[in-house]
Amino acid sequence: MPGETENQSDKSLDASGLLCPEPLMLVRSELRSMKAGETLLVQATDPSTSRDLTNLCRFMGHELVSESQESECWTFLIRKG
Amino acid sequence: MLDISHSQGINARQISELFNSRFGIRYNTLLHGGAREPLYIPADLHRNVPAELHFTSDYPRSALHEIAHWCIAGPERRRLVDFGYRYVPPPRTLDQQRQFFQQELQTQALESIFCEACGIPFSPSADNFAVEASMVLGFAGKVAECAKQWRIGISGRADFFVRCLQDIKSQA
Repeated sequence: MPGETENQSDKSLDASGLLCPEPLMLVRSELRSMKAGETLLVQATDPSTSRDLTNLCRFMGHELVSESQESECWTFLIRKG
Repeated sequence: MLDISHSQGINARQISELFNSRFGIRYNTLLHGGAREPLYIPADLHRNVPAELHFTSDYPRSALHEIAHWCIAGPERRRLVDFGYRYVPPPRTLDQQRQFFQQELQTQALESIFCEACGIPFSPSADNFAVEASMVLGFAGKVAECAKQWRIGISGRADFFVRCLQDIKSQA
């Protein structure tokens, strides 16, 4: 359950059911409205989201704080750089 | 419009202008410089945003490298972030470094053709300072060999872009 982590993040985004690159587009747009240091919790079901968000964070200078998988569901915590 | 300095060859701005004017509308893709790290983001058809091909800083070599990736990627890969490749940053295991070389072979070979066309010196990149010189040399040989094949069989967007670069160079 992501509940505990969710409480600790500033914002959250549920991209479950969406196919890549759509989760990346949403995350990118959400991060633009956030301040540096704030955290975003992302949930997704497309396995490619892991690769996409890793590359996006490297490109934009954000930190991928954590990544976890539970069956078909991935949870990411990103801190805006 | 094009101010080529003989000493420095083509610059990143000129490469961007060239790519965007020749491919921008036709392929719904724009080349951007100034990034801290390169990234390809596919077109967002829902929001009518063209694909973005980002290269590092104002480095002409980085621009040509990313364009090579884009030329090699077919329509399916061009719908994926970074053409569907996961970048593994150094430090890499030996296997990871070998995989990196394998993934980069065609791209760096085509990049060398682009460099040649516009007069920029090319040297292959291991993207990793910890790699042994012998391994880099081995890769360099494969890139040169692969570039020979490109020269024979180059076609499509890659061929067109080489001609565009040659045109700019000949106008200098």
